[in-house]
Amino acid sequence: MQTITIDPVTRIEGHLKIEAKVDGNEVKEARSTGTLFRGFEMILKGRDPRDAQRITQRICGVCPTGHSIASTLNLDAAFGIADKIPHNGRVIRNLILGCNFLQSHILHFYHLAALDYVDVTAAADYEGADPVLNSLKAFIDRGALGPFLPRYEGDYRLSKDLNRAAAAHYVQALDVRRQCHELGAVFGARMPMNQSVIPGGASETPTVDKIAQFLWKLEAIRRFIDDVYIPDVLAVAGAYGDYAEIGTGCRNYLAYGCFDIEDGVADPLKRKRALNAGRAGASGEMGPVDAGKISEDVKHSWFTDACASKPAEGDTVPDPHKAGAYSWLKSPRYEGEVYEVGPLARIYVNYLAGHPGVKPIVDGALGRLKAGPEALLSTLGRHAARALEAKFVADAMAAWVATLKPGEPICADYEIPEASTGAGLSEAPRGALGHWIRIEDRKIANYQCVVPTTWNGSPRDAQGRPGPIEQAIEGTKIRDAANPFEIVRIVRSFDPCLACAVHVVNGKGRPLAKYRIDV
Amino acid sequence: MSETIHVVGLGNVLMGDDGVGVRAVQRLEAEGGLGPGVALVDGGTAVFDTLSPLGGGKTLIVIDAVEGGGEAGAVYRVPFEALAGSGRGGMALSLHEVGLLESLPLLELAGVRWEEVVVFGVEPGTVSTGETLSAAVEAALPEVAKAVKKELSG
Repeated sequence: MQTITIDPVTRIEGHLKIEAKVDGNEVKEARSTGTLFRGFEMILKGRDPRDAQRITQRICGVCPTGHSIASTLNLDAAFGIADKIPHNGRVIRNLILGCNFLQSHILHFYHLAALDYVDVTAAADYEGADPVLNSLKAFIDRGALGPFLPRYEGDYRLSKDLNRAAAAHYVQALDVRRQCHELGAVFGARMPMNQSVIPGGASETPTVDKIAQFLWKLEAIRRFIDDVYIPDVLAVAGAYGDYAEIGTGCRNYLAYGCFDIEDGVADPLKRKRALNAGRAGASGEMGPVDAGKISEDVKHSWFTDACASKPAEGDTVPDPHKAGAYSWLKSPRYEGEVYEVGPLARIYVNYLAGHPGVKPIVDGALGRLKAGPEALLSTLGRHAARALEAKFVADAMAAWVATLKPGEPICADYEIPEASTGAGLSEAPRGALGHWIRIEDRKIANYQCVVPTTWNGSPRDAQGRPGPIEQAIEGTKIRDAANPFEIVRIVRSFDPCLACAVHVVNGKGRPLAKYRIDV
Repeated sequence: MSETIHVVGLGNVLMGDDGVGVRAVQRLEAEGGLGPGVALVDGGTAVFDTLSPLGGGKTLIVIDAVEGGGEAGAVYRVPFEALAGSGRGGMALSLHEVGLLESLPLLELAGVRWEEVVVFGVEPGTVSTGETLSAAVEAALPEVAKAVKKELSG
């Protein structure tokens, strides 16, 4: 038995270690370890409940918007105003979250995942006139290979022309991400950590000018998704068809749903959402979502056993020397079962339900690939679901923004109750995101977040059942243990996002004493 | 190229001294800002996404926690060229972890550049969950503010 250890897995958000025990070229056992302790909930205790919206956005720089929405839905519920959010406030929240989905999905495909499939160094000997490829060539000539190397070798299958086209799109996508953030700032006031999503609705008033500006900026991004992003994903799928058969995993899919499209309903899981809540299994069986059936196991997590509970009562007490534990992630389960969350879960759940916006887009893509819906439940399927979701959301945003009513209310009034509880269930780009709060003496008595990668990257539970990423890797055939493409491609297809913690500029190996200044 | 000067504070304000850059920008703001033509920016942890919309310009001054081997609270003024290459090697970790060293070359690729980039670094003491700076780093804030002002007046 050979052990392949990848630590850290690169080009994902945060720190994740994967250990795979391989026998006869097949992964027999996989372990996913979140190596960072996240203790942000502890900061929230004792504070004004409204601080949750500001502070949880600072957990991370890539999906702060998801946290702003989940925390705000949580506060709406705790303040008793979840059914009083005015139309404008609801729509503005959707537009801001939508912008974050677009930038996150584009970032994930081009800047994190594509390098597993696209050989960017094909630009090194480019001799044409394309300015983007020439700037990339100059970049590579200067020895600036940092973003692209080191990498595994031996399995890049696209033609030189396709590689070059995708490399140019890599650069173009850097700019499209900026456009997504600018779009988000139209109603978010600032991005990526917006100011506008607040309990009761939103704070940025819609004007005809802002609506026009939003539509105009959105149009360029829609063109990129339709003409570049989706074709690139399909081109990769065409060349790497075997990845439509591996990396499936737990075969259970969970979505809380997001983008509320109905006013006046207090329970977010009962609201009509542009992407609805639901559960689905690989054989097509479907079920509703009841937040009361979510619990967190800590059998193999570095937390005291007392931390195992329903999220609303959850606690965060580290126990870094616990026997048998191997991760800083807890193991969320639904009715005790393992579930995958993320764009694939959202798209699959809604596809099975016959969603009129989702089904035609998915059927169209599957038709072009001559594949059935079962191909979705795979490594490639996750990339396809993400790209198709980007299209669905971008198209929907163009319709939503046109429903804003300048001059009408954007926010409901509220008072902070003496004591209350709440739950905010929504989706971050990477999957189902839940926030839970308990308020006492008008202050936060307890706050818990269950984030998407806790579901997907979770360690084994008390029953010994591996988490979704672990299951997706187990059973996979590894062609070359020195270049385990299969493992990193599977892991990255989940778009894992672990805790964002530290951004210290590290001048290690380079003492900076001579640059010290005394003022 | 625009004449604009950007002063950007980076860091996670929930991670103790990692947030020193943001705290320094807040202090400069409280002191009345840095005058016309100088934009003060709280960049948080989204380094690439903060710098990208700024569009480049004349000078970029970054304030951040920097491990340079000194004692907590030591202040450094480092030209970017002196730091370049000392990072984790491009996207070795992730776009999350694309810090300053990785972001600037990528931004150049996307056509966003500054004529000069200077990093004002503060040696961190405690980097762990918490909203306050350690005493030594807190005490360095006035120094950093003064140094940035001096940089701009010179």
